[in-house]
Amino acid sequence: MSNPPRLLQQAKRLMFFWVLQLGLLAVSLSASDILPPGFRPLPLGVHALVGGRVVTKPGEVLEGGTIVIRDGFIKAVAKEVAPPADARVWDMKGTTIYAGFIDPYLVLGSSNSPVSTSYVEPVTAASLTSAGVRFYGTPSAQTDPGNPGPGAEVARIMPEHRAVQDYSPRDKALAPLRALGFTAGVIVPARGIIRGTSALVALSEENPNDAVIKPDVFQHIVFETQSSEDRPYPGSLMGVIAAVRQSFFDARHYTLDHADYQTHPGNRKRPEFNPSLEALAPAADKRMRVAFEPGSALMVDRAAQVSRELGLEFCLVSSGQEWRRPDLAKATGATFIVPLNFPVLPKLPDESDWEQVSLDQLRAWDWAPENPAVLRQQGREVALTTYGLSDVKKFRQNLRLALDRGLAETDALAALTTVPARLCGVESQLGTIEAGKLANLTVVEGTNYFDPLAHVREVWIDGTVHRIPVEAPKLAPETVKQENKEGGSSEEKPPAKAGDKKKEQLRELQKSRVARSPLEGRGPLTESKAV
Amino acid sequence: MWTCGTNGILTNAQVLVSGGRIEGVGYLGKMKTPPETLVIDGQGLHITPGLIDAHSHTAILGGVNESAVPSSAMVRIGDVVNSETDTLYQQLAGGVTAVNLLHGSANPIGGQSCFIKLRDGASPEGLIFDAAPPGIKFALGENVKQSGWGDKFVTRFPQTRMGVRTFIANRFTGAREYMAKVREASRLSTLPPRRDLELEAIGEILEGRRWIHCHAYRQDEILMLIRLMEEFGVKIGSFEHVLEGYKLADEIAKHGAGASTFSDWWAYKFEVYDAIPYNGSLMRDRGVLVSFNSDSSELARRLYTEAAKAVKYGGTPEAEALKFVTINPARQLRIDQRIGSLEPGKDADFAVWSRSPLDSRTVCLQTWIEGKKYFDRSFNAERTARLEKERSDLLAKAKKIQKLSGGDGDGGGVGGDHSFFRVCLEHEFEGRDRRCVEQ
Repeated sequence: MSNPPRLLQQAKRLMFFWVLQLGLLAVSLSASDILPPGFRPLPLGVHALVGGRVVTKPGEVLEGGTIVIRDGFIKAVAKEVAPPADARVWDMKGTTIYAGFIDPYLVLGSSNSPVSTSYVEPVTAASLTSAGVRFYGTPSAQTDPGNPGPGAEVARIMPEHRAVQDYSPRDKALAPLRALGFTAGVIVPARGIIRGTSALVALSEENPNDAVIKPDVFQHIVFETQSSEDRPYPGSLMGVIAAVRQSFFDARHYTLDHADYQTHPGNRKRPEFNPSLEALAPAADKRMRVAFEPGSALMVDRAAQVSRELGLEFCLVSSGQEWRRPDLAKATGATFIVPLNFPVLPKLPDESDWEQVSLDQLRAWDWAPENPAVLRQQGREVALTTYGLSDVKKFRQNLRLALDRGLAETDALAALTTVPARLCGVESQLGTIEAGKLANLTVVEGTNYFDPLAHVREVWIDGTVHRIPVEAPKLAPETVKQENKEGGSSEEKPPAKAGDKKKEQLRELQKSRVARSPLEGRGPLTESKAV
Repeated sequence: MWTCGTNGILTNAQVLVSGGRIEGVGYLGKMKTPPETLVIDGQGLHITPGLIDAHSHTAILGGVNESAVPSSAMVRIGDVVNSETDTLYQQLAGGVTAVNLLHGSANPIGGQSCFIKLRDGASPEGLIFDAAPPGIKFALGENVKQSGWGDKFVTRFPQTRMGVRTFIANRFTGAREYMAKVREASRLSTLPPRRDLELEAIGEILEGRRWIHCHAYRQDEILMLIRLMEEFGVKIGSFEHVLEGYKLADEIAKHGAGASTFSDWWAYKFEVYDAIPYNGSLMRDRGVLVSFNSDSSELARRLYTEAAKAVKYGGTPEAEALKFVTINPARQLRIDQRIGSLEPGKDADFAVWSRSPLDSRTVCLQTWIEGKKYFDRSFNAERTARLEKERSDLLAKAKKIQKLSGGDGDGGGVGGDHSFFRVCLEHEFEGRDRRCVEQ
């Protein structure tokens, strides 16, 4: 096991070298790119999108409608509306236009994998020399426990962290999301147990000041058991839950304590200043929703129980395994943010290695694409996210698998538009194509986004169009030729090949589930009034 | 019929269950059965109360220790009960119906324990047995002073047995002050102190509302805790393991603590060299309330054999030996008014055996909880076949998909994607034994 880290280090060193080289290159280029100072007129922000198939909201379609955009918002949507004289007219024939998609759980520029609340060695290299966290009557030997500066004593409790503060748009991260049709996303903080607040941003390379739609959307709590080397509390799952519980009691007390000091300033000890507890107050008072990432089917239940116990407004990030206990997912009564990171069948070195694959692993693999549908069947609202995918490009392919396993297309569309908009509290700005809303649109060639081959031609973000280049390499030579004739449209299917039959068979096979519910055959075998 | 109550062992007997409770116990034909009664023919079979495991770390999600702090009284096993693990079924197959889930023994003051019934298929909340009073795990000796933790663990207080006593005394003093402040604030209607979940739990001990179940081995430390707790006016619920308990059975009996011991584990570390298999019998002879526990998901399936060892070592009468895994643990955990014996009014938790439960050849045939059957050995073959078929069907599908997608997984075939091999939290510890301090 010593090889991979060393390799990684080598790779990092190599990367550093390249970055250095590129940096030098950039400096020499940018000198000639500087524009002379002075007045430059801004382009007009008036557009008329004419002739497209407009899906104004899930289940409502306007065939051949016109959308008028002015200064970044939607001025009008109707079948019979004349484009304004100053508008640039866009022919949208042959396309379908959706409200711009929203990803409610984006972890950008970080390799964060979804949390799995699994067990980690409970003891780490160092222990506290003092009695412990906030031990009454035993003053800590450490004057500044937790993170440097004022704040919580547990380093991984940092509700004061705001993802918006270090948000800086990067094309490399945003372009692949736009290619999937996303126009806005919630940037989620990536470290800790109570992680801080997330920000809803437009997925464009604007100045961050302009890109931010809503600075503090959710407070994020993750049942993360990985503890850092030097400060291990809490090191267990139950410890994580205890720490979350205590933090909310502390936040409520903090508010009362300061109010008390306001009323009796000369009569008592000055209260502490604690930015962590201050930042947790909106969540504690139900003024901000808490997004829990519980990491497993049973912790989904626990997160809901703890939320109810603490009186929180909450939503949940699906563990992908709610199929284990659909009843518990139903009982949460919460909206689920659902990643589509399904387990991938491995290529095993030897046929006999299959012997070691457990029934539960096979079940988890077979159930995964059905999980979004399971959540809908339990009456849960669902919002989809690219979170957890090792390759975001697989999003639409996996979404198709989920649809083939019973997720309705209207639900899927709602999961990309209206549900996340409502969850983020921006339903008056985003989620549908209506006059007065932000001009965020997702434009797909053909009639259906949910055909994974239908090209997302462009997205509109705050009234600005972002064209999505067609990915050429995967197409066979004759298809490219054909496309050139038709002017870049990939509406028609590539000619049938021998591989298509196989693909069809594959899809059929993936459509049906073989795994059974782990609840089958459990519970009382016999019930009788009297025995 | 091993009633484990005042009736002792009855032959040619009958028990009537209704509405999940035991309606009556008596001789065959002496009781009227209402119509539509499901009749189990017990000819040649034995019936016992459902077995109770007083000390277990089974069905806990994540770690069993919150070992970063020496007092983890704020953590709750009830937050991490695993309703999905296969061990529930396996323990039902050993006649076990109720289990006390304890925090590990890494800390002098451990976490809050949780008592469950093995209602397999229920949710985590559905497993929890509300009638059991709250408990908490304490621990003494080598584990808590970090003797076996390795060279890096030399800084946490306490590091000695002296320190353990001081630490516990400190926390109890702190809790007493904290509670006084809470009471004072409520009396004067002023701002109460910050709610402290750790001291609150210790405060419950001081008020007699939470029972200590303390991992202990040596006579000196057992005596230390008895004296210390008596100073605070606290009665200890039970000593766990208590392998030197035979040396001070009188003191334990006088204090009124129970003793939940191993039948015959010894010499697995320095502080248990003086352990003897006669411990249970000897303590019982001196009036201590004795139970045998498993401390292990594996051994939990054979608690009845553990009980039999009390007959072999020390000659405890058979009826009394079975009580080591039925009514005695129930009494130690203060739930004997509900479970632990076959007596009218109690929960209908029972097991049906092919022979005497103390016979090494006995087999558990059925296990019932609150009048519902959760295990039936005659269904087991069908169950195994069903699961095996499901597995082979899934394997066939996986292999077919792989073939169709060019032998490269789901068609994508991302290199280095190990998502398939992830073992879910709920089944993480399947087939592994989890003890007080995991090695």
